Amino acid sequence: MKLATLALKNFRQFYGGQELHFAGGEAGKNVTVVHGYNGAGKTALLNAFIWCLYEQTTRDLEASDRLENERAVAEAEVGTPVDVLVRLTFDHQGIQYIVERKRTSTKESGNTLAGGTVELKIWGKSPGGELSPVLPNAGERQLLINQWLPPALYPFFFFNGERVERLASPEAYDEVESGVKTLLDVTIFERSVDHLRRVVSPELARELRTHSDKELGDALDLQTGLEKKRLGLVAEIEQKHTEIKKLHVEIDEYEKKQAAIAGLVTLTERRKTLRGELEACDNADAKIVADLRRSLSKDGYLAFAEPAFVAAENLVGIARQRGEIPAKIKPQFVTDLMEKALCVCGRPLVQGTPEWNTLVQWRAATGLAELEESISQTAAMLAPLRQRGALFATDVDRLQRDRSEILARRRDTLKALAIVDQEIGDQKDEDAASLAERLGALRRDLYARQSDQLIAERDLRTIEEQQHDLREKLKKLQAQGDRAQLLKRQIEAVDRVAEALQQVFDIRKDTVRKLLDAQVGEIWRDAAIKDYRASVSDNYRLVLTKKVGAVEQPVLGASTGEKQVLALSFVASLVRALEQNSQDPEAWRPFGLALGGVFPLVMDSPFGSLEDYYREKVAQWVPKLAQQVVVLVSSTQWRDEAERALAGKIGRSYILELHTTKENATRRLLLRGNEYSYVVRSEDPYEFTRVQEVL
Amino acid sequence: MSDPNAARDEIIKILSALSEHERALLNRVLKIERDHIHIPRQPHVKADLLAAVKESIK
Repeated sequence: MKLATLALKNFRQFYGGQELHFAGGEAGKNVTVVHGYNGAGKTALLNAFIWCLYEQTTRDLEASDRLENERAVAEAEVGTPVDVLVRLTFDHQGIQYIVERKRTSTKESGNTLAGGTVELKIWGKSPGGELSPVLPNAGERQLLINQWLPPALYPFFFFNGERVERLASPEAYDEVESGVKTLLDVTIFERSVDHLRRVVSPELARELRTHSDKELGDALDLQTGLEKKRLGLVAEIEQKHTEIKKLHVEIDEYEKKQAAIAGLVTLTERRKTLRGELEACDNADAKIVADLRRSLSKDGYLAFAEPAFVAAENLVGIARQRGEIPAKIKPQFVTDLMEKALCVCGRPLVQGTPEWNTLVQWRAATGLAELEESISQTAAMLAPLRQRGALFATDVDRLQRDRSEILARRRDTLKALAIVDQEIGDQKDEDAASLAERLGALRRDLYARQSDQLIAERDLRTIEEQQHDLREKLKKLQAQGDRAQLLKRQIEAVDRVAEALQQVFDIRKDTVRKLLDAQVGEIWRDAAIKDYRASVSDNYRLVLTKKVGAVEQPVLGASTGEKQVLALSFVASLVRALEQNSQDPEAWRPFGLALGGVFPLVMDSPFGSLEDYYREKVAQWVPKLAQQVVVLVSSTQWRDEAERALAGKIGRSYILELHTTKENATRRLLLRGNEYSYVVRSEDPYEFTRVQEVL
Repeated sequence: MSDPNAARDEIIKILSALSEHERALLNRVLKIERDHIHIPRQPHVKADLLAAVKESIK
C-alpha cells in the first residue's frame, strides 16, 4: 500500500474539501511532514486514514462519534443532509485504488445530527487508466480492505508516537501477540486446525461409529471423550490466563499506590530491585539448565564409556599378540583369485584341492584387514574421546557449581523479598497496612490460579499424548465395509492435514519471531544510548535486558523515551517482515500462506517526549522505518536536529494552518529559512484548519 | 530455524509428504477459512469443510 493522496471533506477541523499528496520515495524522498499547532488537527488527520479504511478511530480522539466539521453543520439548514467524507488514493500490488468513506447525516435543531448512513466505495484503475467500481457488495469491499491490511495490524502502521511506548508495556502483550499472529497469518491456521479437529473429525467419527464393530466403536468413543476433555482444558487455561492477567494489572495498580506513599518509597524501590535480581537468577538458572541439558545430551554417554574403552584396548592388544594384526593379504586379492579360479603362477585353481582350501582359509583371515582398520581407527579415537569425557566432567562440575551459587543467591533474594514485603505490611500508616493486606490477598489468589493453570497445562499435555496414541491405534484398526473404510480414510486424511498445518504454523511462528528479534536487536543497537539489549521473547514480548556482571537481567523502569524507541524498533521490524514476506511469494502463495507487501507508516508526534539524542536518532531512522513515512508534528517536536536528520528525505511538507476565533493568537512557523502562517485569526465565527503545502 | 530459506524448505517438505488428495484438501480448507475469516457468524463453515473432505478424499 503506497499512499498517493488523502482528500477530506468536512472531517473534524477540516472545513470544505482539502487534499494532501504524499511523497512516494522519488529521488530518495519518502517522507511527508505535516506541521500543526496543538488542536490544528494532527490527530484528526491520523484518524482520517483509520476511519476511511476501517470506520474506526483511535482512543485519543475526543468526541469520536462527531466527525462532521462544526461549521459545515452550523451552515446547513435544519432537515438537510450533512456529509463527512475521506477519500484515500493508493497503489497496492501494482493497482491504483481509490477508497472513499462517506457518512451522511441529517441536521436537526441545535446543531445536532441524526441518522448517519455510512457508505464505502472502492474504485480500481485498470492498466488502461480507466476507473471502475470494485465489488458490488459493501461488506465484501470492507473484507477486501481487511485483506490488504488486517484491522489487527493497523495500530502498528497508523499510530501516535507519544503512545507507541505502550507496545513495550505488559498491558500490550496481547496486542503485540495478536499483531504478530496476524502477520503470520496465523488465525487462518489456528482456525483450520481447530475446525478440523473439533468439528470435522468428530462429525466423521460419529458417522463411522454407526458402521463399526465393538473394538473400533470403543476407540472412537474414547476419542470423542478425550476431545471433549481437551476442549474443556483449553477453555480452562484460557480462563485462567485472563484471570491471571487481570490480577497482574490489579497488583500493579496497588503496588503503584504503595510506591506513592512517602514512607514506603525506599522499601518499594528495594522490592523492585530484588524482583529484578530474582528474575535475573531465574534467567541465569534457565540458561545453566539448558547448557547442562545440551552438554548431557551431547557427551553424557562418555561418563559411562570407560569400561568400553578398556575392553577395546584389550581386544586390540590380544589381536596384536596373536599376530593377526596387521593382516598381510588384502581381501580383494584372494577373492579375485577365487573368482578367476587361476593362481598367480598360471595354474588353475580347482575347488576341493588343498590349494583351493588354503585360499578359503586365507579369505577368512583377510577379514582381519578390515578389522585391523576398524581397530586402528577405534584406537586412534580413544584418546580424544577420553579427553572429551574429562572435559565433559569438568564442564558439568562447573555448571553445577554455578547453579548452586545462583540457587543460593535466589534463596537469599527470596528471603530478602519476604522481609521487605513484611516491612511494607508492618507500617503504622493505615493506608499502607490496608494496601499490604489487599496485595497479600491478591498475590495468594494469583499463586492459586497460576497453580491451577500449570495443572491444567500438564493435564492437557497428557490428553494430547493419549490422543496421539489413540490416533495411531485407530489407524491399525480395520473398518468393515466400503463406507466405513472410506470414512476411516477421510478421518486419517483430516488428521494428517491438521498435523501438517500445525507443523507449518510452528515453523512460521518460530521463524518470524527470530526475524523480529534479530531486527529489533539491530535497530535498537543502532539507536540506543545505553548498553541494553532489545529482544522479542518466545511469547512475542518486547524485552530490554542489560548485563550485570556475567548475568543478563531485565531493565527495570526503562524511561518513556527508551520504551518509545523500543516500540518503534518493533514497528520497523514488522514493516520489514511484511516486506520480506511479499518478496517470497512464489513459495508461499500456492498454499495461501503469505501476508505481505509494502506498507506506509503514519505517525502522529513520532518524536513525542524524546530527548535531543533520541529525537535525532529517531529522525535519522524515520526514512528507513518504511518505504513511505508520514509524520505529523508540532513546532515544539520539530526542532533543528529533526530537520537536519531528515534533510534530503522530505518529499512533501504541509502546514495545518489553524484559523482561530481568539484574538492575538497569531503564530508563524519558520521552516528552512522561510516563515509561514501557523495560527491565524479566523475571519468567520468558526474555528477550522486549512491544509497548506509548503516548499 | 532462523534461516527463512531453511524454514521454507522444511514447510515444503511437510506439505510434499502429504498425498495429492490431502494437499488438495489442505488448500481447500485454507481457502474456506480465509473466505470466512472476517465474517463473525459462520454456520456454513462446518458444512463447507465436510464437503471439502468428502470431495477430496473419495
